[in-house]
Amino acid sequence: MLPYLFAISLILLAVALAGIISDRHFVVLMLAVELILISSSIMLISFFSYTQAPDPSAVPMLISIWSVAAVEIMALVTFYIYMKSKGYDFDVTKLSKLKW
Amino acid sequence: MALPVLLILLAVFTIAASMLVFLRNKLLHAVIFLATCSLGSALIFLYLGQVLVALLQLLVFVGGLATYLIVAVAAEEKKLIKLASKVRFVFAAIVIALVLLIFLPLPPNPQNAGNDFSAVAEAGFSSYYIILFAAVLLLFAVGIGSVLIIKKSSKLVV
Repeated sequence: MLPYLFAISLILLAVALAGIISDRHFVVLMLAVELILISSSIMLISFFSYTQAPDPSAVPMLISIWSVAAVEIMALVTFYIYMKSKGYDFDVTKLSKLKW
Repeated sequence: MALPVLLILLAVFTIAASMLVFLRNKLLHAVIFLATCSLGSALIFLYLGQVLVALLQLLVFVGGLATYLIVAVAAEEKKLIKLASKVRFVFAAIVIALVLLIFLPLPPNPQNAGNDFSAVAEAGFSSYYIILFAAVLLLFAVGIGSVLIIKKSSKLVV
């Protein structure tokens, strides 16, 4: 079963990386990062479930994944509303306008 | 080895939802498909016997983050920026998946050890609950602070 789970998380990672390469929308790129976090949590829990000597360090690692996901969404929403109020475009190819 | 049909169905569900995040026509649909993908991952955790992790995954990703995103971002978005090329995305996804699957060695196939995540967490981290609660409170304060800053600096109604 573990090879299947490993393959699932790798395919999810591949989809997210392909999305980062192909898409230009700022918010969708951040959603791709969320997808990478979901993929990493699947891999972490899979290895945790199948190992003979479970390592307690998996617990803070999973909490860290959830925290990073939450903070990323908060930063995304803050940045999104800021950009919207300033009238910036969400096309990442035009983000150079944000330079100082 | 018998094929784990249920796991394969869950995998197809999750991967299809993840691909639809990028093949969507509206941003709102992308967020809904991300929530669906999170639901798929929670079902995979349930399949592995990690009930608490599945529940928390649902709470954090579907209940919290997806709702926050839908309310704050996706419902506001009117302008659509389409994918440069859907064919290029699918091609890139297939190529990257093949490269990862070929060059990363697959792990061996052990039996499920039946490790309970909640029991390990309880045994190892019960003395750190106060620190964890403090971290959660800080995160909550950051969220509230970001909303207040946005409200102060923008004319949009939050």
